[in-house]
Amino acid sequence: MFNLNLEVVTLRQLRWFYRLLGAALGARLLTDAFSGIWRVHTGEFFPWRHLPVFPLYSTGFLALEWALLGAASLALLSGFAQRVALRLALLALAMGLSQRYSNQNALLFIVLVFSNLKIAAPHATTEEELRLPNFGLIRLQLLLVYGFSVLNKLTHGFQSGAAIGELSALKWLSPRLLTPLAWSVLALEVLIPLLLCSRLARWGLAFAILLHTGFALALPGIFTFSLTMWAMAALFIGPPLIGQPPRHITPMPSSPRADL
Amino acid sequence: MLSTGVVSAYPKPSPRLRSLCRALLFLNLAYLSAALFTDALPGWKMFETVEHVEYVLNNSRGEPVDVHSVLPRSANLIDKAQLRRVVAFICEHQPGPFWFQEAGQRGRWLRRGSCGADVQP
Repeated sequence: MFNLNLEVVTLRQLRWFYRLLGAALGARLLTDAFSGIWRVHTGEFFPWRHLPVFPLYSTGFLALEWALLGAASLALLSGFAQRVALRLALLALAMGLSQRYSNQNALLFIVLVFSNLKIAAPHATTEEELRLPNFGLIRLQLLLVYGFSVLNKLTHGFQSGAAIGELSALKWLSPRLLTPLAWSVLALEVLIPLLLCSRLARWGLAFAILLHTGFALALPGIFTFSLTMWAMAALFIGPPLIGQPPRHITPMPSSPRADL
Repeated sequence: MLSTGVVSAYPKPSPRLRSLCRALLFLNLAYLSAALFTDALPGWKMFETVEHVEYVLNNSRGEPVDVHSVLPRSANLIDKAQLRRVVAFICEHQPGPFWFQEAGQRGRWLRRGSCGADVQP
């Protein structure tokens, strides 16, 4: 019988998701620190992508934001105090978004909001698989990012390749390659979610690594986005989401979970 | 009472959490659909369009000024409106006046105090 197991998460998927999320937070911290965000807050640099709704805060608050990010990143990478780490990361990302808007900060924030709805700490459970609707939401978020990215690109003429040709890191590319390259990006953005939802999920992850490594090389400073997408993609590696009914067990008569 | 049926191995999620997730999914979809047709709204529009940004910015001694000198290294300048805001920032914070010309536009002098207005074509 057809079944969509979007909510079922294995411990292995959870562990990889948290590790990659921790890496994404670390990448965000390092990108900010080495690209000169400090000098934005001292007033030397242009307030890049700053939303005028919130005033720019002092370097003291920026140091606090970075300390929270660093602590959350290390905790998620090491598997220590993951509950606290997810709360701290959400706070740090909310602070950061009030200072500079970017797609990668928004995506990381959304994923953290969803993760915080019901925190599942792998070390605190004996279950091999958990049913977590909020992780279904994270999986759907990946499908929405790819789906709307393709729609936005198609409706704004990305397929001509002109946008790729304007990126400074790709100025050396022959103009003849731009259109095929643009179509390849669109094809991968359609293919990856389809593969991730199928029994070929590992191929989906491999293509996602290829695509987002390419993005990160072409556009400086967006490695956080790549890592966040890989963290979400890791939630598809395991039992297929479509076509396989959830695992069932026959309980022992005294099982406290024999509630049906 | 003992159950003899087949039972799911997973703990049941709370109905409240499931309803919240459904509401968030609906909001997400509604917002992204609106952003698809509204250029000003951010959506998943990763570099779908990148404008050709070509300019000349010189200081009062005629020396070229690079706008990237006041931008974080991770900044990708992809449209003319962004360029003008950065040029206006340089004009307000560094000794001027500045000569600014964009590709296909007439050049103009930018002076501190009116940089925001002077920078517009």
